[in-house]
Amino acid sequence: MQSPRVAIVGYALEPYSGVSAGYAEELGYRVVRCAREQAGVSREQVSSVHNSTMDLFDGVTISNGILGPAAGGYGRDSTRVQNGGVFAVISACAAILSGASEVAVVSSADTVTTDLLSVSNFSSSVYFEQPLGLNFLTSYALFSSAWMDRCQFSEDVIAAAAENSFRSGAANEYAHVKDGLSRYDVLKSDLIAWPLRAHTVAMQHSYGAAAVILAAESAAEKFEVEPVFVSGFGMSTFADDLDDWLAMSAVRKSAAAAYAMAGVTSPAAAVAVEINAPFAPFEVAAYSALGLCSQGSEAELLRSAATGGNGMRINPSGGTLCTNAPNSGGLFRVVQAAMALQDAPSRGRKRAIVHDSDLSLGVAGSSHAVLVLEKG
Amino acid sequence: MARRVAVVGVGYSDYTSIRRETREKSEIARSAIRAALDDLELSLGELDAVVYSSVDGFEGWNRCERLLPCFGQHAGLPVYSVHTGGTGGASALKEAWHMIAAELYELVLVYAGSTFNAVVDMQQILNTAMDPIFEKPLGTGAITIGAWYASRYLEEYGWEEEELARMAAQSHAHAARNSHAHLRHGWTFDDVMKSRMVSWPLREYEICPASSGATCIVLASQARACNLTSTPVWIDAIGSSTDTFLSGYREYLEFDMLAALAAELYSQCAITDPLNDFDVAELFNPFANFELLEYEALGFCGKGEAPNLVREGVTAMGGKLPVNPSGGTLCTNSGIAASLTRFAEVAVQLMGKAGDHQVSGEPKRGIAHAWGGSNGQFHGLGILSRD
Repeated sequence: MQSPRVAIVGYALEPYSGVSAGYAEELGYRVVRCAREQAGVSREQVSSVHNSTMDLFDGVTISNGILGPAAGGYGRDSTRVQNGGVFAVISACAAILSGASEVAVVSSADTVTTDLLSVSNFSSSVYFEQPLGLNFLTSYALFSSAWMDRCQFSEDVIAAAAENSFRSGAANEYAHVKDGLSRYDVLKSDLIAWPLRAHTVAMQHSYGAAAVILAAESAAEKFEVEPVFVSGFGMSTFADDLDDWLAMSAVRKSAAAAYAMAGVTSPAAAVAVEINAPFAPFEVAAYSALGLCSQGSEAELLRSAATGGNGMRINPSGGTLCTNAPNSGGLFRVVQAAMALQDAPSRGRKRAIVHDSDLSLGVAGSSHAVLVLEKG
Repeated sequence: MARRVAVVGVGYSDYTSIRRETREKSEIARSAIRAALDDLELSLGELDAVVYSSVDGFEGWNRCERLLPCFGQHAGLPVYSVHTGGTGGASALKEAWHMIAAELYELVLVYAGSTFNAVVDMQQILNTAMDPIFEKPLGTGAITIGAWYASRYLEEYGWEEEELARMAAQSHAHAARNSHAHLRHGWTFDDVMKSRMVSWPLREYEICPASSGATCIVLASQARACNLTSTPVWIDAIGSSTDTFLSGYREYLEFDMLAALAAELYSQCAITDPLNDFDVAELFNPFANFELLEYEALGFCGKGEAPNLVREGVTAMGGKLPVNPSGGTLCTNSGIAASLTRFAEVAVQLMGKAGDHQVSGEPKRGIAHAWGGSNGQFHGLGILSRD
């Protein structure tokens, strides 16, 4: 028996850039309104609002107080999830599948300038790590050096993954970084925290907003679009433990749960895979953890994806290297995967996979989620 | 129709003042979680997920649940972080309820953190929840919000300050019997009236303390619940409401959003006469006057009539509908934990496990409420019952 599905009936993005284009409530309102109009959903038809933000990226406490009403939450049930946009989508799916909500808005925005290094330092252990100055950059570097050493990965593969993202980002009107950097540009960029270079880690803060409208499968036919369905999802959390990090256990568990729910037996048959990888080594490590290839064949997978040889695109949005939005990045990737799915010629491929996490705070203790989308 | 979801276990850490707190955050969490799981003979690894709630600005540490090694991360449990301010515990419980009702999980731990014990200036953090252009510069903090509602209520209905003291004394009398309460002095009406004025018309003993402690609840699907306990408490309905962010639109006389939310939940549970249909209530009362507003919003009495319920002992222990037999938030407020505690307290009352503050008879149905956000932007509400 097929598991019940939830339909994505509308979505919208505010294009991402390095300059905030307005207040959270302005961007949040615009993007939700646009998504609702695309779906033909009135505000009265919305049962619940699910926001994805973190206070420290918004500069205020209880920041969903701002975004919730702007998303149409006035007089409605609302909540806020901090792990990332895919987790907020899962929150909406759970509300819909439980029967508590029929139509749910999921929205998020990045509008406030913050010091990302300080926020991630403030998110590390109070007693031992904060005084050492651990932040997202140093934690990514620690992970990368240990992982590259353990798996014997060369910088060339890492640079190829970055090149793939930059090439896709250059062609994406919604992406922030559109430089289209080559692997040679990447390898020539400054070493900023060994083994990470300036172009293998996302240091920029991308500002923009994203919204998705979800509905019960039974209600989806009322709306004006051909929906994309959420057919599976899974979540897991890393322990603060080096072996756990390097085994990518939380990514594996999330993927296994999502694939089991969606009946996915061959993840590599997806049209598109969006991976939240704010540093390129993590993206390469995620390939086998997500079941896209066996460990050791990542370079081959990248070559195929770059040439379109195997029909699957990795990070068609340009990935987190091009659009690094800590609040709304997960939702941005969900929208991009839905767009890729709707735009792709079918050729028997009908699924897209989205990975998300709160890695923007640093590697340790991060939570991961995997979402499977599919065409009608 | 969604499957039934039950509270099967409740755990508390010890509660104390933030100034006397000597425990580290994971010690507090472990003691609450152990209390809940040991009672059910469960280990963390047997759970499917943890839903965590806190307010990061109070914690002195952003998203501290990512690194506190007590939420089953080593077993790969998803630790799901929900944060809606003061209603966080209710929102986390609602999230877990959705997950189980949707048949995604069977057993979920909901944890609400002790949020005040690391903050240097709580009111400054709270002030940032206000609109940054117009409202934040006014210096609004929690107590001023309570006082606005109190002064408007007295003015509108012609009641005197004594009614607030009477309400507070009832909560303090209840808390004196609750071993998990922070303030157990049993302050009387005279004690409350003699306490210092803080923000007119609210006196010190009509305002909650800053407590330290945590609460957790274990939720289970019907099938698991019946295997784990002989006293499952069902969550028959749970929801939240959202008001405007800018609070200038509000009248500060009543909780109209709570009234609308209650109407919705009452219709789901066929509640027509709340004062008689419920056997126990736990309502979020960081200020004594809030409990009065909540009686009215929840339909226990008409508008402006709530002090009569207190005068007549209707909501006291032994009354027709005991409200806040735990002493409520007025006597124990450790931030986010206080919102989950309201639901936990109704559950232990319905299980018959409240000890010295157990209400009489065999309570079958109760209601729990939480409040929070910018000037009370959010309410959370749940109806719980026993077979």
